[in-house]
Amino acid sequence: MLSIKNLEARIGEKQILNGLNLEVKPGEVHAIMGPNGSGKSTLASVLAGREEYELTAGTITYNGEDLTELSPEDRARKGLFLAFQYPVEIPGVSNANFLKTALNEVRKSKGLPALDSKDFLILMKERMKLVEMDKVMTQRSVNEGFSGGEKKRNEVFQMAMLEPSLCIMDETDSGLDIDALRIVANGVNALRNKERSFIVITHYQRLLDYIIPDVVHVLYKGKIVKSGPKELALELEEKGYDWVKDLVEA
Amino acid sequence: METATAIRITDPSANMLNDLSAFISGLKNDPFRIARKEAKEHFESLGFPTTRHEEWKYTNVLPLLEKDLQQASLPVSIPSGSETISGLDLSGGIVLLMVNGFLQPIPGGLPEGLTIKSIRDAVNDPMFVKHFDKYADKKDDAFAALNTAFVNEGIYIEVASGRKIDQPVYIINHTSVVEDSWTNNRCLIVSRKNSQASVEWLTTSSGKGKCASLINAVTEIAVEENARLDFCILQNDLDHVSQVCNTYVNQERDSHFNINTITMGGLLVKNKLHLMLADQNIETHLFGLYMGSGKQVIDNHTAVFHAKPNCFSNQRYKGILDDDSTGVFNGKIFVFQDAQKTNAYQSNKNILLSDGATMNAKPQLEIFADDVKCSHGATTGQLDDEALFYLRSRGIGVENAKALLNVAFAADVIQNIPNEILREYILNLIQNKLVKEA
Repeated sequence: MLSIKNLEARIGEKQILNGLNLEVKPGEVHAIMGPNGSGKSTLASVLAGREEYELTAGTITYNGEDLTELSPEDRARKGLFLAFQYPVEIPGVSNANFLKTALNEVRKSKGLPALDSKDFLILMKERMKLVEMDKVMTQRSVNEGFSGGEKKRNEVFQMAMLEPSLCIMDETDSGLDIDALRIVANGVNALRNKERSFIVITHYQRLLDYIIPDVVHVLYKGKIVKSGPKELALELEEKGYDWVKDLVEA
Repeated sequence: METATAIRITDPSANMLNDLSAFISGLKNDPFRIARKEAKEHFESLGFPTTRHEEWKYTNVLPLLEKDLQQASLPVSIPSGSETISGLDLSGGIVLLMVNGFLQPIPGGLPEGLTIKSIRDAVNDPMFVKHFDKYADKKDDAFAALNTAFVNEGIYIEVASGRKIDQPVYIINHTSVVEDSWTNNRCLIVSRKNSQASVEWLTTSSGKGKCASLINAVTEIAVEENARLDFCILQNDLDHVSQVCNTYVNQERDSHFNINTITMGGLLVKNKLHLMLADQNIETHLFGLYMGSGKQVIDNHTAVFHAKPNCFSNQRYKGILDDDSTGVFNGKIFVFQDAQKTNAYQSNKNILLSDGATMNAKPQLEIFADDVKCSHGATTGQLDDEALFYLRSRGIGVENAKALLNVAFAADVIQNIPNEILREYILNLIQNKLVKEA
């Protein structure tokens, strides 16, 4: 589904990714952990198509297609979804109107007819339950005045509405208390299936208590330096990132 | 003789004075004789403003005036109110129509407590006498002086004490352009004690070709004790029609006044809004939205005078400027020495959609009291890139995403228009103007 080979990327003069390799198959959950500044969020941004990053080497192939050639909206239409670390507040655009526009553009690109208001509301009502959203939140402006937990729930709600095939979660656990973390993780787990893949980017292990990964990768200085089963996350939590640094530099 | 001809071509003020003298000599039994005489003298000493005048620094009216505009006459065929503004359902309101400055018959069956007359028929009404020509700054403003000097037709609206008028009053100022011309519009609204009403001031135009046209409008509004008035100005003229729109509001104790000034169409639009908060415990909201495109120049000058304690004023103006359009916002707040516990806020936010668009924003605060809360802020920028990326990352195409953000930015200002039908109509205009290329 996703194949990243020898990826190098920089922003301005600063080289951040240094030959990153990653293979994600349908239905897999990959956790990417790493210390601050290791390139975790850059990877998420590059995958979603942020234009401020320059790719200097390597390839990203998504379902057989060169992902780097696609605009952010085309990536989304082809099933890629980024759950933002810092979801953006958009005053004046209601959550419902935003999602309806997005969903219908995605549907249009797939040759599907637009959902009318009634069908959209039915779908929305159903998916709201996954993250315990209430109706008022859908009527408010996108993320405006939302708490940290509400913003992250809204990200997962959008994911549930758009039904992507590859979900990239950028530090979704940051700023969440334990209840909010549980709600968000439950939403994600409900969306797991044989086709849908996840890349869960996190600094801490605690999110992975709720979203159990198939593989854990450690990112350091812009490349993956160690991969292993879910127990690797526990080991990291216990020994700290210095252990990885020592490992690499030894 | 030769010199006289030369003056006629090069000095618009002198031309206008000649026309004014001819106009005055044609009047019989002039009820506005005294006001007119004073106004003429003021215009004589003021003349038309040039860009050297601080208030007109970015807005040059002279090229327009040099076209030697004639006073517009009443066109042969008069459109109906709804013909002048297609798409707006006027059926729930009271529709008054001015065509080229000439008042058309006032509809019958007005609700109890609402008086509407031609100003010529109101000259003996005590409230008209009390408020007419009391607020326009004809000593300082050439267009206000000229408007008063040419005053002849116009609308007088009085809302009786304690009355709440549910139907909105639409004043449609329609310009039918057939030659290079100007029109004079005049209005006085008096909201008596404890009354409530909404008045919508709409300017529209029609006409073939690209004849130059200038509307000179003066509206005076008196809001008496504990009265509430919602006033909306919607300017959506053809791109060869210009206007100078001066609005003067005097508020008395405990009154509440809301104004929305929405500018969509027109070539050069200069709005001046003066609000005198003459007593205590007054609330005022000023909202503005201007959307320039082509070579439009849209200039909003506001001045809020806080004369007494415990009043609140809030101004929020927003602009979206495209192509080679120019926006001007100059907002002044004066807090007099007496006006303790004043709360006065002002903000002006702009989005430039093209490299050719320009915005000139200048907030001015003059505070002579010491216990006040005042703030102002002006920003001009492009669309929020983060928000744009967020929308695109959900599959929304870039043009649609931009339109969504711009509509949201603009629509925010119109939320306070109580007339839902008008609000929806304006929202449509906003969408049409922004989604044109998508």
